[in-house]
Formats: sequence, structure tokens, C-alpha cells
Amino acid sequence: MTRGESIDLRALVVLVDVLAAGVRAGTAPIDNWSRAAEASSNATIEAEVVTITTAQLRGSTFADGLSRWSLTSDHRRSIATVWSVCATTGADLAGSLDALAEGLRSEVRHGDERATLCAQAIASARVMVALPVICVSAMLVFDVSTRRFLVSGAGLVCVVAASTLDALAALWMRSLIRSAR
Amino acid sequence: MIATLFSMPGTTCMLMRSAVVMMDHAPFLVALGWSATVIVLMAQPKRQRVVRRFDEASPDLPDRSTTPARGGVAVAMSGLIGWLVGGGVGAALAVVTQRWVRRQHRRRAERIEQELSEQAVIEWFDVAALSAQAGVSLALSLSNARPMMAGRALEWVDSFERALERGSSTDDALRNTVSGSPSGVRRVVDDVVAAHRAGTSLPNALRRGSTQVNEAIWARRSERARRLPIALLGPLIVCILPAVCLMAVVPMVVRLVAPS
Repeated sequence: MTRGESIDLRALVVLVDVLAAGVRAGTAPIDNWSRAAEASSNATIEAEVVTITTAQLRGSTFADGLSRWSLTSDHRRSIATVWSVCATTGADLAGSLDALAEGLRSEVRHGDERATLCAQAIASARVMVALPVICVSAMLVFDVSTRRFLVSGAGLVCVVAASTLDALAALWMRSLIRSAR
Repeated sequence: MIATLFSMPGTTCMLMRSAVVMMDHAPFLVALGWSATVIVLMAQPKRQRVVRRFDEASPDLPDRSTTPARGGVAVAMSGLIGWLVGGGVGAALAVVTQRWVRRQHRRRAERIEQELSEQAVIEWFDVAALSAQAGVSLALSLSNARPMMAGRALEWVDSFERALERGSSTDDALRNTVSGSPSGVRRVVDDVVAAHRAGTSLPNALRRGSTQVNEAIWARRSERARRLPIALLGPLIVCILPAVCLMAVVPMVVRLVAPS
């Protein structure tokens, strides 16, 4: 989970919590969504929810706005699905939203745990990728003969090969870190 | 450009597939290249050595280099041995590499299949649990989820409904639907079927099922995160250490060899 996804997920947890509270208080759906968006204190989600609640002004319905919003991410789809299914079947909406919020909270917790587990390895990877660059910079500054070698033909071949290997390592590590996150 | 290529969805899978296709012809190509290299490397010094030995042993005889009959046999023999050894080693190396790439490709396909199935069962059971909570039967709850489903989950709902239309019971239809899925998913479905038969709370059984699958996914991700430091040894050994050697060791060696 990237940092952006984590922030987004936390904001969605707040949104779902406020929606559940609003349902329990008997607030009308559109008012409920507007209040929840304000409470989430996330500009992106607020803008998205405003699009849903003002769908009627553009000749569309609240349900259409909700289904369009659900296409943007899996978590949004879960929220929209819970809302629509409960509205259709008459299931306990507040309880379902609570369960959903708990699920999202667990996901945030596991994401944080994974980030903690990966933190040391990510820091090591950054140092390792920077190592050849630091090495060559130090030698260029402090060692005249090395500087002379590195600007020669063979030296340039070494620099190009090392840079290529370093870039390859950076790409490889990035892909490993992404799959671990 | 390479970064863009690697970040494209499915690129790794495509690259792996291309590697597998290329690997089909690799044993012959590698064996051929290997043999040619070994023959060239072995034959030339061998020929020179044979000619020199003849010259040293019999200085009275005419220059052997001008009559290379026996030297030619030695070259041919060494070439043959080189071809056999080099070709064998090259082919073995290529076969091992080919198997490794195929195994990686298969594992990746299995992992994708497992993730798709797990995601589908979570979505399906979560939505069905909402309907079941409202007092709807298991069959209807699972069928009612259709409008919210996509991809694999939608295929499963279709298959489940077809099985019901053919006259299967709900339990059998559910089991048949996920019969080709990974064992973890089948186990969760078996638990739901058992709960249905026993008459226990369906929403709870469905939610418990999706929670179990979710926990399995999280456990696997945590495991992958814990293995990251070991996985990073690959790029360290293959790329970073040679790069540091090129930058730090090679200049020093050059300075020692050519002090002027």
C-alpha cells in the first residue's frame, strides 16, 4: 500500500463511520453524505461526494452518482455496494457500515504493519543504490589518479557500465518493494 | 523508458512469456555458440603446442608447421572433445534456465489465479451476507449479488445460477462453482455449506468466510514483506557489487598494473 492509498483509506474510514452515525440518527441520505464528506477532511473525497450529492442538479439520480463513484476504486465500490444492497433488501445499513468500517480499519492496520516491516529494507535499498554514486564522487574528489582513469576511454566504459547496473538495481529493487508493500 | 515499461500492468507477465518462447530454442543456440567458442579457444593453442613439441623433439626434420598432418588430427580431436564438452554443458545450462523460467511463469500464473479467486469470494460473500442479514435464503442471497459483481465473481454467480437451473441443490451448486479454485477458497466455501446445512446464522458464516480469506491474504503479504531484506540481496549481488567494483576496484587495479 502506497502512502497516498493509505491516506485515502483512512479518509474513507472516517466517511463510513460518519455515514453509519448519520443513518442511526435518521438523517436523509444526501444530507448524510454531505456531512460525512465534510467530516472526512480530505479534499479529494469531499469533491467526489459533492459530485454524488449534486447529481440531481445535473439531471441524474443519487444512485447513478453513487454507482459512477464506485467505479473509481475497490474500496469505494464496497461502500457503494453496501449502501445499495441495504437500500434494496432492507438490511441493517448502520450495522453493515460499521462492519465495513471495521474491515477498512483492519486493512489500514495491516498496511501500517507491512510498511513497518519493509521500512528497514527500503532504507537499506536506498543506501545501496546510492553507494556506487557516493563511491565515485568521493574518488573523483580525493584521488587524482582515479580521476585521471575515470575520464579516460576505459574509465568512461566503467562509469557507463556501473551506472547501467545501478539503474537496473534501482528498478529491480523498486519492483521488489512494490510487491512487498 | 525502461521504467515506464516495467510499470505497465502485465508487462512482467508478457516479458516472462516471451522469455519462455525464446527458451524453447535456447538449448540449441546456446550449445552451438558454446561449442564454437570452445573449439576456437581450444584448437588454436593446442595446434601451436603440438607443432612446437614436434619441432623440439626432432630439430633435424623439416619444419612441422609446413606439414601439419598430425597437428591437424590433434586439432580435430580437441575440436571434437570441445564440441562434446561445451555442447553438453551449454545444453544443460540452457535446459536448467528454461525450466527455471517456466517454473517462475507457472508460479506467477498460479498466484494471479489465487488472488483473483480470493478477491472474488470476498466480494461475493460480503454482498451475499448483506442480503442474508435481511432474511433472504442462501441461494437468493448469492444470486442477488449479481448486479454488484464484476470479473471472476460475476462468472461465479453465472455458473451458480446455471447449476441451480439444472436442478442442483444450493450446496452442490456452490461447491461446483468454486471446484477449480485454490484449496483455501474451497475450504471457505465448505465452511459456508456446512453452516447452511447445520442451520446456523448465514450472514455470520458468509462474513467469517470472507474474513478468513482476507486474513490469508494479509498473512501472505506480511510474509512477503518479511522476506524483502533477503529478496534485496539479489540486486545487491548481481548489480550493486559489480558496479562498486567497477568504480572502486578497477581504477586501483589499473593503477597498480600501470603505475606510470
